[in-house]
Amino acid sequence: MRRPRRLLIATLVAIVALGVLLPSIAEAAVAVAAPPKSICLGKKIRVGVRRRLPGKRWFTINILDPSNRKVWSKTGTATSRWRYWKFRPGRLGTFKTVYKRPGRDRTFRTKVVPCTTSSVLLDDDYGSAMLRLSNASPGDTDEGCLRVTYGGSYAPTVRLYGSTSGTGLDEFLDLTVVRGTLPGSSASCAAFSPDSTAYIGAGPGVIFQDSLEEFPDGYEEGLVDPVQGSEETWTNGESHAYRFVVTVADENEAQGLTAGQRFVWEARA
Amino acid sequence: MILRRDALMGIVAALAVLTASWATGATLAAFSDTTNNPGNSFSAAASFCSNPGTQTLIADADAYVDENAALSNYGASSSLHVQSRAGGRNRRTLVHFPAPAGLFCTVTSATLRLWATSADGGRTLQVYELATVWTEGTVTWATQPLAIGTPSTVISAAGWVQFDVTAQAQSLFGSLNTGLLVKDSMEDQNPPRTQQFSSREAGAYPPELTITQA
Repeated sequence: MRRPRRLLIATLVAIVALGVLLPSIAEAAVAVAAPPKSICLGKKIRVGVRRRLPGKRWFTINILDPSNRKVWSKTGTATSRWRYWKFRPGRLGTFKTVYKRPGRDRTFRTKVVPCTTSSVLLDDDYGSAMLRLSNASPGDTDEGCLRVTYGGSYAPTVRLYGSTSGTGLDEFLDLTVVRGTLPGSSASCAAFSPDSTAYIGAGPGVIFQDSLEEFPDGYEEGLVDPVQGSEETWTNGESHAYRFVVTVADENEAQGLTAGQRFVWEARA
Repeated sequence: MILRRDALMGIVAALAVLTASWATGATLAAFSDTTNNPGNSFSAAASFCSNPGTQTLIADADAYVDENAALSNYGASSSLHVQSRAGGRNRRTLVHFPAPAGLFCTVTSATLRLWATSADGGRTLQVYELATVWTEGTVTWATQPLAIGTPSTVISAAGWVQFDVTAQAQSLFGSLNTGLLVKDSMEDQNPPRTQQFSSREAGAYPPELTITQA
């Protein structure tokens, strides 16, 4: 009668011990590289993982921008060798690196600050296109925002231009570009606030209003930021948000046409 | 030795860039950087038409005008007349149709159908677009709008007379919907040649416009 009781107690102790120890063993199975606490704008955050103990171990790394928008992600299985990845933040502020792995998550913070040691012009779209219209009809519209930030020792001016592809829909797309500020994530234009100046007399902050076909194709004829005749020189850490609104014109000739567009900001000093 | 050659090539390349820059008038910036937003894509629907297909429209206004009674209005008449007759006694018919249902559509074909209750066969009838709007209850020979554009023609006969008015309909429904005018191609003839068609007030066989749009 005693033996079964001992066995029962031993089993319970073993279960409790495993419950306590297993998570910490699993946590220790995947080691993570701590990203730097601070970097200059234009530099990259390095993240990495390594398997510590035998057996495959999953991981997910997410990088969040200062608005808590996920801007980079990596999922995989840690190996016995360190694997590193680099991510370049496109704006100032504190970015969070969140490692998810068996056991508890770990979060690191990296402050992105303007420096004069290197000069760079960056945006925070992280490769995502701002605008998309599919199977569109007259009056259909889309809008997108992004933030452009300069860091460096020069005092450059900035121009906007772009390149167009497709079968001619650009002639029938009305485009408005507005410069302003955007306190939150540029994934949404909800918090966008235009500059108060009517740069071209087409409303506050508007720097371009015409068909996409008329949007400049190169630096020489590019839109001077914010406007020809009173171009600004950008200072270290300066950023501006831009809202793009595109609308299909009421022209039947647009039927079946397509267009692709790359928008470019170029800083020169 | 190799190092010297590389250095020499570097100097030559730099000089070439400077020379090209000088030649093109371009200035070399101390600092230059770009950032971009690629991949924006736009595609328009193959057809914007919200109501493609064929529909038949019934005249919402019709009248005939008489040269011999130039100030009289026949908007309430149950018949529409087209007549060629010497001595200032010609008659013409005006018809108007509502715009076809659907937004952003293009007319690909249009047929005007008039039911001839009596016909003087073998006459060439013409359909023109009208230049300005008119009112069924007031239009007269004296106030009829000008006929514009190139007419569609058909030979007169009893029963349904059908005109291909695609070009006229494209113009009408693309801008001001003024209506159509039907007349004899050779007016002022003697003896008189007269066609009579059912009007919308006749109750049966009103003027029709069959439209196909895409």
